[in-house]
Amino acid sequence: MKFFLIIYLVLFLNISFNLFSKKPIQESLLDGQEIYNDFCVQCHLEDGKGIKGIYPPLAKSDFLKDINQTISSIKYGLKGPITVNGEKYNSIMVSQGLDDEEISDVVNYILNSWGNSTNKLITEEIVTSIKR
Amino acid sequence: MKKIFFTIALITTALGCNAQENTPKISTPAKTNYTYEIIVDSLDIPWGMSFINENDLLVTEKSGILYRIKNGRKKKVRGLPPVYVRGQGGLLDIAISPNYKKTKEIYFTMSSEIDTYNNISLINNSISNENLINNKLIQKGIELIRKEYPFVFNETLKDFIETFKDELENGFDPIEKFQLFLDVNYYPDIKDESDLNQISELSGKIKEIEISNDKNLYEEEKKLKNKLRSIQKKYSFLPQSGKRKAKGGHTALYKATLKDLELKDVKMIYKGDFNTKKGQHWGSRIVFDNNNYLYFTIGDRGNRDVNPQDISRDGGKVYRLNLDGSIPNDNPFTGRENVRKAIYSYGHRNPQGMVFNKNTKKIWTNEHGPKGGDEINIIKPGKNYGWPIITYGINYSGTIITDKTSMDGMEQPLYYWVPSIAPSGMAFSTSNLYPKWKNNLFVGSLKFEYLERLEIKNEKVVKREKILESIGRVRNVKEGPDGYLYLAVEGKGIIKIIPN
Repeated sequence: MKFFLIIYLVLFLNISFNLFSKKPIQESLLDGQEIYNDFCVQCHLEDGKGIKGIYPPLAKSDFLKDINQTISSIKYGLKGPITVNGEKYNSIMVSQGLDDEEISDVVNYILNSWGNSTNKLITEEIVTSIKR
Repeated sequence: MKKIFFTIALITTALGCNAQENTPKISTPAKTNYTYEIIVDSLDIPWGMSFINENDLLVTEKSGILYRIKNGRKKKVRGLPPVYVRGQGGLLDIAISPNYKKTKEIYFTMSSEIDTYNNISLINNSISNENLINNKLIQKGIELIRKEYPFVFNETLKDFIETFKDELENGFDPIEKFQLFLDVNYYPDIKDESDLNQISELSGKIKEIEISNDKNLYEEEKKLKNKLRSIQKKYSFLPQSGKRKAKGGHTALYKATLKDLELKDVKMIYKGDFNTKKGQHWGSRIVFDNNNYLYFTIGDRGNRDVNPQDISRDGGKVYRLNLDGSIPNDNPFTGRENVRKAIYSYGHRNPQGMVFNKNTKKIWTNEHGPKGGDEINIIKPGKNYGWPIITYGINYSGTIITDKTSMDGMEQPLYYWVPSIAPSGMAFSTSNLYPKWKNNLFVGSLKFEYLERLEIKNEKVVKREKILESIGRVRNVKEGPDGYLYLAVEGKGIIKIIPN
């Protein structure tokens, strides 16, 4: 009996350990900046402006209005034609292999840098919930 | 005051130099006498390619796929160890052994999160040749498990397959079953009956909420999870978090035997230490010289101030090994204590192009430098190529790394690119198919999206020219066994240059 109980219990274990603790925004922004400088800066550049026609801008970018799409493109990569601030882009950004917390941090950093601002705090939980 | 002016003048000169294109300036030919053909399409980041013969080609996709392309038909090769895709890392270069015809052996480099330093994992021996797992569903299951649990021991996997053979063959979720297997077999009992009951009750409730996806129950779910966590904390053998966090990794070199579309006897023969979560500078290229030595590169792994100049650590190096993975007796640092004896040269930033020059019998590399510091180097044993003590480049942010471009005991590049072209891949044209290009050097430019042709006289670059301008990010270039030049272009595929 006990054995079955354990089986029953462990069946649920892997989904029930996603215990989130809310990370303060300041900490998230700092971590996000580090991630940005490691993984994003080469193409989107320090000022977030990218290169017109090749790497789309993140600074005051209308692409960021759709937060889910923003998270999804970092989480799973993005390929094919998009239009950002009226400019057309057709390239590929591969997934960088960041974990969900790292993605939430870097999205928070992007959404609050170079003139971007938002009241919305992206949590690890939100990133986890975004499917392809 | 004078000093200030002098400094300003110096800085301006330095910046001025950096902004100016290094000579010879790149030219665009007015008329071209070649066309191209896409021989393999639909590739995202084709990193490495190695020809078995002119109609049989191996290509790695950075995301972790190995393709074998026979007569234009692209098929996946099974049996790769788990690839750690992070930042610039992933599945990197591939090269067939000089003895391939006899041994069917191949080599490849990839980013790996296996913690070789702490030795918590067995190195992946392929177990796919066992009768037990001829079944396709089981094979698929093992692949999935290896992806999710890169540190799992082979013995554990074998145990698991024996126990859950029927379930796997009938298509049950392998990850779920494996989790169950681990939990039942590897966690001791929870002695306290009431804790046990509570955990299962709470888990059930949380699962119901997760399935319902009802936002109103979000707070409730949180409370339940906190309660659950407080109980779990009493039992250290229970997983305290179900999420796999980035662990960090380093570049690894593997050897395997290729049997049609499957890798057998997969063996890790070198792995960089220490693992780091940084996403940059994994290298990597693999080449052989004419004495059956294997050379491969690892970049500085985003730790420029420590790795490239320290020969007791990996990263920022060119390595040399025997074909079986052992270290040659005459490697430059073999007699020294506390060094990585596989190191052949050091002080590199991120070499992503390498070729054996058949005429001079020397190894040539190119490497990504900082802004204005991309280099071509001829590799000599035991030499220091200077990064980051000397460089012609500056940080991409515009700040200065060092004011030195040369120093005693450090090698000068054969050439440095200003502006940086982001070089990747390297090949000499040795055939007679392109008479005007004979013995020229070819380097892919990721940044400017062309193939660069360099004429070299007495180890000096005398002419630079754009080939296939705007073709896309050129990740790799190789001379095929048929003498044609082949390019790997991101988002496109493999391209063959055909003279008119």
